[in-house]
Amino acid sequence: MGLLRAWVILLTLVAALAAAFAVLAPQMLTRDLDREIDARLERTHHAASLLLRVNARKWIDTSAQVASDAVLVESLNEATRGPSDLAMVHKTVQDRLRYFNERMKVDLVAATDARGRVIARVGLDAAAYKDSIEGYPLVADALRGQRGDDTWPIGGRLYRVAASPVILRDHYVGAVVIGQEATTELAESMKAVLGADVALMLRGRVIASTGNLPILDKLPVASAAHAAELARGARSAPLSIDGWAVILGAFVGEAADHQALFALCTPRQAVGSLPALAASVLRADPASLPWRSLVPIAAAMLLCLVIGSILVSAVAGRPLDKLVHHVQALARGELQRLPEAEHRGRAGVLARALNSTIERIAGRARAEARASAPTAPPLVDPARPAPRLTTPPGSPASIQVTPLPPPAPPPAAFAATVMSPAVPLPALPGNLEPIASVEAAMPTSEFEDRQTRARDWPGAAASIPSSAQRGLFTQSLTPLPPPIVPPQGEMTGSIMAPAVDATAPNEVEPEGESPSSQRRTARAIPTARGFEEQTSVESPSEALLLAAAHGTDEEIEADYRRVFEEFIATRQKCGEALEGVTLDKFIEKLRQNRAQLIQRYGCASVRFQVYVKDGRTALKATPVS
Amino acid sequence: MSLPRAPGALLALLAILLGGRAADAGVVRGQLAIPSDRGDPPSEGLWRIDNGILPVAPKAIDPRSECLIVLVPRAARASKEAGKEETVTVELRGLRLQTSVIAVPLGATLEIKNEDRVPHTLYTAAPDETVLPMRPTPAGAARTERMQRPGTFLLLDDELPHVRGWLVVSEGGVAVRLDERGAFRAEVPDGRYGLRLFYRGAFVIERDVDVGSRPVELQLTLPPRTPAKREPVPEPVRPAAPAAASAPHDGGTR
Repeated sequence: MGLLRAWVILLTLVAALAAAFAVLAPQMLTRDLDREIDARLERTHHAASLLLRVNARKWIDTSAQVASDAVLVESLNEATRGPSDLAMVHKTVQDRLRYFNERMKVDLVAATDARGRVIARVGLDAAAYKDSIEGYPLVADALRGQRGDDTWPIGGRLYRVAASPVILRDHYVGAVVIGQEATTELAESMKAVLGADVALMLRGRVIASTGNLPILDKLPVASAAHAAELARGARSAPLSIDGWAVILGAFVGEAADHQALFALCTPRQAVGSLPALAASVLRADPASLPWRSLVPIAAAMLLCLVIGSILVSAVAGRPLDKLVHHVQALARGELQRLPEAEHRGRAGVLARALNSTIERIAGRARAEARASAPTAPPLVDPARPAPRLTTPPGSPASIQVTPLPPPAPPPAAFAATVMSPAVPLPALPGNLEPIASVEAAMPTSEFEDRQTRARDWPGAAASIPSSAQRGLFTQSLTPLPPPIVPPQGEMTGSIMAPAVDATAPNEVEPEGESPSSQRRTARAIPTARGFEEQTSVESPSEALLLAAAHGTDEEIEADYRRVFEEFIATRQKCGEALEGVTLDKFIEKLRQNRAQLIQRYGCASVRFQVYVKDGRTALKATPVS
Repeated sequence: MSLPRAPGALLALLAILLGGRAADAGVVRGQLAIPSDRGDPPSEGLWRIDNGILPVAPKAIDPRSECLIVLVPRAARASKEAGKEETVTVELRGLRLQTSVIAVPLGATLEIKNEDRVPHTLYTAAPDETVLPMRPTPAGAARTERMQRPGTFLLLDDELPHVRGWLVVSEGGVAVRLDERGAFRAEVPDGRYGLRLFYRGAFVIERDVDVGSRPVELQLTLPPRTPAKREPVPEPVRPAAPAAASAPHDGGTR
């Protein structure tokens, strides 16, 4: 049972661990997944920075290509020198810029002279010229001879621009600026390369994005909250906005002061909770699930089932089956009580409790049967063992005849059991030997024969029960209480009288003659009381006593002498002392016992036998009908 | 001594006398040396590439625009009302302030002319937004503001981030501009002055000079540029409505 309990506890712990794992695993999985998404987004940001850098370099090369055009060089040189017709130069330059822009398809193209004065524009503000843009650092650097790129916020729009100096032999004659507005086209191109949604922002406002991101209205707030972080590192840490992972990156250049940002967004895969995980599994195609990964789990479950079944069978099932088997045998009458020794643990406790219950019910039934016994009981209860009086070894021989209580008719329910000859008799307390019931041990013919012989005794004809009385006797025997099963004992085929266990004949003394005999009597009585409750011996009739009393004295005397001689011989044989053993006392004791037994059991005579018990000489008195 | 010589002698005497009076105003002059490695911080952008054909011209500092020397008398003699009637004019042209360091006496009026074809919205950065509130100046227009608080203030343009300047409002003293070579000269009354060189948001040189009958010759060297990273521009405080920003002393835009 302890093993089964340990197994149950182990299974409970395993189940609890599994449940805890089932609860925690999705969260851990979500956390790991978020980390992975964040790391991937950071790599995406790095890739985006590289992409913008490469793209800027491409625009620089394009501007350099435009700046190397000979027509532009000559025109800007003329504009720089001044005296030429600026309108004509403007037209020439603008035509040339349009020519290039047909291939570049950019939003802003401008050419300046060496002082930064715009000679011509194409695209944005195409009609304006002669104004100076040398204040732009990009233009100033281009006029110094550097190629570069920048981001310009113009009129609430973001332009990525590149500039190159225009060189005429040994001096700079101007600069060419080309620019492209950052629109949805840029965002889509970035998404195509990066694999993440892109939103472009300027001054806290989303100016372009891929698709219709649900978090567009949250991005300006996030950018404002991380403005300091963006100013320091030109990027933010990965953010979580409404189930999206977002990383903000700042555009490099002048527009950075106007919070020109690009936001890389990717949705977080919400594993979340166990129900969400289960729902996602249920939504998945069953064929696509990794069933093979469940093989170890199934094997573990099968192993647990096998071990559990074995344990349940060994610890609980098998003892229970055995107990059920014995209880069924008890119900069928094959057993009188459950074999407690064969049951252990709780089954043993149950068996003992059942046995106690059986005995208590039997005792109660017997008590009720005695209380309702008929007024004219039978002469002898054949189902009751006859008491045998013994003298404890080593003590002076005494013969005690314990009076038997009147028989009580048992409940009818016990009749079958009582009448069954196969029913073993219960153990008798003390050294009283068992005796079989009359009816169980003796056939009817023999019983009638003995009845006849009893009637043949002189003066006994009127006292011997007739066949009608016998029928009454039989009826009175029928409702006997359940038998008492002796563990061992001597079974006789005839009526057994109490045996006298005279282990020490020299100490045999008449009852009541010495204190020791009184003590023995007092000690023997409780032993006989148990027997009283189990034995139904009625007082013999006066006729039977009269018949017994008219025996031949000589024959009896001779029999007593023979028994005495046999007793002395046996004691000598056993090496026992013979002091105090006299014939007169011996015969007197036998007479008294004979009379008591005849009176008690209504037998015709009493036969005394000498035997050896446990190496000591004993005497047994057997009533003879 | 002939008569014709008398007027000459009188003139000479007069000149001596006058010269003695002029000696009460001392001269402070000097030269600012700009180290070759003391240029602007590298321009922002992903790329800056040499053209490969011609050498790139150095990004020189224009002392005329970016440097300012201020002589502040140690003994306060100027009052707050000294520059009350004075007007200092700066131009926005070429998408930049022609003078990035603007010296304005306390109480004087600052006039900003927009010579560009695009509007400018200059303002003083936080926490000094009230010195020059954010207000647009359309192309070709001008705005005036009266300087009522001494100090140095960063000027920003809400339209073009690269447009930056510094407003130096001095309480008394003399502001001296440098020429293209870094030379400067100032005539101030005799006395002890504190000379301070303002460059890109800070007084990088400070020393005391005693101005007397003899001119004071100074040789200044611009200290090396600190590799400080450019601080982020604070978000400007925008007015709720353009009309609400009008002040009694500003002239508004023209």
